[in-house]
Amino acid sequence: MKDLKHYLFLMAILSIGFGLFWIFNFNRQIQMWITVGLGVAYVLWGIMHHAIKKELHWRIVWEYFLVAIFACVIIIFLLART
Amino acid sequence: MDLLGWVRHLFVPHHSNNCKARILHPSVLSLLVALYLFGQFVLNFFLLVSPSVLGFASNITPERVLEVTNQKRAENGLAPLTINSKLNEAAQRKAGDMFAFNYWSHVSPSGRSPWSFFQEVGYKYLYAGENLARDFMNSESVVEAWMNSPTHRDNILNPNYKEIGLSVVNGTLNGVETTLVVQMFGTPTSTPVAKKPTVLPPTTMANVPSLKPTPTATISPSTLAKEERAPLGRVALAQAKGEVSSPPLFSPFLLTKTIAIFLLGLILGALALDAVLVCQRKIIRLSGKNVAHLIFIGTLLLAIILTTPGAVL
Repeated sequence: MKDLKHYLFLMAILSIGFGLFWIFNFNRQIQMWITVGLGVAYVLWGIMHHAIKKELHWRIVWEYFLVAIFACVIIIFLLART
Repeated sequence: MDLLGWVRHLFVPHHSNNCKARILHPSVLSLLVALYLFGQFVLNFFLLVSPSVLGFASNITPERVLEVTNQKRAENGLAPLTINSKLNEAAQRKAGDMFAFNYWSHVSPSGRSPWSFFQEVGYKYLYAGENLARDFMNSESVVEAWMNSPTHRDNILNPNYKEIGLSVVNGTLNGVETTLVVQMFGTPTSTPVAKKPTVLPPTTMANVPSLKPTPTATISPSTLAKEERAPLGRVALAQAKGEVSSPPLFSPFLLTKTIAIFLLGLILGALALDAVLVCQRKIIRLSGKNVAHLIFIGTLLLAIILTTPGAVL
């Protein structure tokens, strides 16, 4: 698979984030910050990945940003319900 | 465009949607975020106008919370905590204060600390601590959540504590029917201890910023509305009846969770279909990586699925 190292790096970041999310279960404030951190890390990964492949475009950055916002807003509002 | 054509336009990449499922376009993703936020706004409005419909039904008893707490202490070679009626009263007043002044915190909006409740009921302590929980299903899950949090665990497994007070109170917090659990730990000044009498440093308390007792005049007990008090001298655990006369119809948390799972699942499915078709048809386009989006959204979807109601403080 192409870009395997990039994807493994992404999975490592997300696994650490997920682990922290699990460890801080029931501490909503920390979980929210972890979610924000994951979103930021994801956008940065996207930018770096496409920059390395020399195919970076503002539309691609916008897409990663929107996907991150979409997922993070949903989870943060859920966490805020308790 | 007929319904089938519209669904195809939404989920299948072809020339009509610029070779990318329409639902994955930035404009539609933005629209979904906006709709979700609007839904949350409507839910909040509904909570304000009809709070009794929304809430969380639980089956927590102070007796079971005490039993499980002492079980955890026994597993760690610690002596069981004994019930103190004054601490029960303090826990009860604390819960009543949280409902009356609509806050979820160790310190009230007016700056009233947990220690003022100890003083108010006349409990003189060498050591004191407080654990709070809300919206759990049963007693076991409350104690388990506290045990999973290092600061709360330290309170439960603190060998300095000799006595405990508990209250489980139903009421309305921020418009939602809520079950609050207050656990107050203490060691009375009369208990002989090897070291010089002192209160524990803040680091050993659960998220409590200050140990200096706030003057009890900050909020008079008579201003505590809707509060239930155990009779003086009563040693049995106090459980307020609260205001809940019938279980709420549905929980805002579970409703939000269902919508969240549906939305993320929808995008996840669309991404997977889009990835397969783009690969099959060898479509070349300027776009982010679907595999990366799938991994990211899949991880957060898993986090949402594993998120259960309940919070500790």
